[in-house]
Amino acid sequence: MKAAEKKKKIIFATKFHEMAFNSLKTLFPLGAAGFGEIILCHVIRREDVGFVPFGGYLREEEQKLRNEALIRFEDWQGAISEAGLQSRAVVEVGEPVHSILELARKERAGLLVIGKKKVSLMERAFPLGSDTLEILRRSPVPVLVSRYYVEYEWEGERAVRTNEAIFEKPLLAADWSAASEEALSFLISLGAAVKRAAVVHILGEKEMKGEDFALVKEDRKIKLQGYCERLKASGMEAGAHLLSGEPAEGILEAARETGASMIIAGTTEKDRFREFFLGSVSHKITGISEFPVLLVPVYKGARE
Amino acid sequence: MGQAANGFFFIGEHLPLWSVIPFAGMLLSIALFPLLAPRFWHGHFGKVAAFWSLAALAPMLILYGRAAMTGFLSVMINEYVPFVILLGGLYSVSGGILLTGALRGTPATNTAVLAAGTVLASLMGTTGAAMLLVRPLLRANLHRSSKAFIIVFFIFLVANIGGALTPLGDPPLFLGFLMGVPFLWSLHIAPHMIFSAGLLLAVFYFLDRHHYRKEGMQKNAPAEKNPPPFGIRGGWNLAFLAGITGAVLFSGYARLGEISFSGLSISVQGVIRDAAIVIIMILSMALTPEAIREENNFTWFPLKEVAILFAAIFITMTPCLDMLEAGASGRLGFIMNSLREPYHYFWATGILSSFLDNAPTYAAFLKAALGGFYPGMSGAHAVPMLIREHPAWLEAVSAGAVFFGAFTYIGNAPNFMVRSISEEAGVRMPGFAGYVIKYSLPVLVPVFALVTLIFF
Repeated sequence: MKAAEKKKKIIFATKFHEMAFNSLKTLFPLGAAGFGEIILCHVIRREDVGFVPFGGYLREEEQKLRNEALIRFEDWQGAISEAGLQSRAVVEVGEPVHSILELARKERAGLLVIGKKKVSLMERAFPLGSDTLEILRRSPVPVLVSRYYVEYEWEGERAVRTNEAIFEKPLLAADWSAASEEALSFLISLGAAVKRAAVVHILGEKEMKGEDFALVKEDRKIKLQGYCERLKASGMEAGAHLLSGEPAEGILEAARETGASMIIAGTTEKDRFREFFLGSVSHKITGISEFPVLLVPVYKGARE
Repeated sequence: MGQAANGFFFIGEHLPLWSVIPFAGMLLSIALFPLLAPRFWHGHFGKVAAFWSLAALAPMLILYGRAAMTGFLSVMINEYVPFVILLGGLYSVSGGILLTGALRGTPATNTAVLAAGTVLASLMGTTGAAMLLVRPLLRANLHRSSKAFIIVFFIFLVANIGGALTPLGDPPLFLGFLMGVPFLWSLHIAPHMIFSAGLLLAVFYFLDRHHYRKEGMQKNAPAEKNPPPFGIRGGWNLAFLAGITGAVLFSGYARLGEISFSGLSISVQGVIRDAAIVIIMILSMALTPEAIREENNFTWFPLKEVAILFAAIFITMTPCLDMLEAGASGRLGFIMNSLREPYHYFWATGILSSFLDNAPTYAAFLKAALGGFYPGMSGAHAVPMLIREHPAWLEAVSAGAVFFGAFTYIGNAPNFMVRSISEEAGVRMPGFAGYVIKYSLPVLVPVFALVTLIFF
């Protein structure tokens, strides 16, 4: 019983977009990585049932939406149980970002999964403001932005991608920061769910222009090997890739070339204004990637 | 539109009676849709508002062309925009103040919270005070079985009557301020307000004590095991509230001239006031941790709703106000002829404020009073004369609009926000009719009758 209690929890937050159930199924292999319970979470936006102008609160509408969500979850829970995992359903009225993050804190979740339908051109241009970005910016626990079926553009052509076995071949974006270390640790914790990992570092403009470029390159290669060794020590295959260019685009390019199944990166907490003015490589990757992206925050004390 | 729109004739004297239909339609939509088709209204109120706005705009533009357009633009720029900016400022800044700690919902505590809210309402707006205090009040009374009446009295006092003392308090008074009523003039209705609030607080205390005893609470009231310390988070927003008060006061007393373009005039002090409030809003949003607003369940949605609905209200009421301003020579002259005494204005403004929103109702009856005494005279000249020569009429309109806003859920914008938050928290609030029959008629009508006897 005690062993079962120690199993890590996944929060799967959904708005019931198309393919949400398929996204959920991609998490089942995490049972092998010590995750024992999936908490299905749906937040009914407060303004969908409350603040009727000069009216009040749509109690019956809330009940209807609640029941609709619970019926969907009941169906999903059958599949989760068949995969050997436990599950619970949580349906709340509130502000989605706040409610989801509160649930993640309260449950001491090991992973928070949010869905994203597809990457639109608008999101590429103005990635700020969405619930997804807010969660990424503030989550104290690792967040997987799951994408099951993605339409995207590649070299001017319209392409389609289905992300099935997302944990088999992850790509770790490394820069040896504290955030990057957290991401590596998380990847190692996935253990048996992973077959082969790729570790990528993108040399930036400054590194490329410096007089000691050869030394820098050698240093980065050694560090990449260090990461690979640690992954191999945990029982997974790992390969190193040193590339150059714009970081977010470079990581995405590397994921395509290595046949990665997802991208894992570390992320640091930024406030709204720093995010707006400075941006974030990890958030940019999440915005433009056709791969699922798992961001691991540097936020001490949040995880067990 | 008014005479400023046309140098040769006063539009209000020529407008046909049917031009008030969009205004009536808009107000009736606000009154009836939430009752009869709440789901439709929730999803489509913007389209309904757009429909009535177009219904008001199109014929006026066809009939009076540029003069009508200038009139509408003037109302939107000089009244609607400052109105929404002030509401937004008070709403967003007060949303950054969080009261922590566990109060226990005893009759004395509840009465104290209501009294504090009544005082705060004139300083931070009825919406701000209501949003600040409703959740602590709900938390304090979590263990109580009879809660609805507590929230109803909260609506009476904090969401309405408490806002009677300054233009910050209640939207109708800010409209009056924009129309030329001095900032501190509202203190003239302090005696009316203190009398009404005192009486209501006393009634509330005894009613709450009755329920409290009936519930057997005096012995069994549970005390929270580890209550969070009582305190205030985001307290710097109080300074921002003072800043908003300062900005409004400044615009009331400074005279820095006007900016004129394309037949429109905007006061420089008004622009400075609005810019200052917007800057204060931005600073409050930037400096207040998200966690505080989230604890307050802060959302922009109610403000968005109010902004959309009031855009339509301001557009549709323009022809109506022009007709009222024309006095007996306008098509609504019959209203002026039937309203003669201050108490007529108190009850007429009040009864309509109960079922229509109180801000446009206030504007309409202020114009009616001005049109009755000073037909055809511009508001800027007529308002000071009304204050000097017939202050009781303005007192009656102000008190009627503010006090009677409490009479129904649709009388004033904060009423529905308080109702929604309470219902979400599980309080079984009375329906529209239940609210009026069980509370407004037996409690408010006698209080307002006494106000009439004593003050009008």
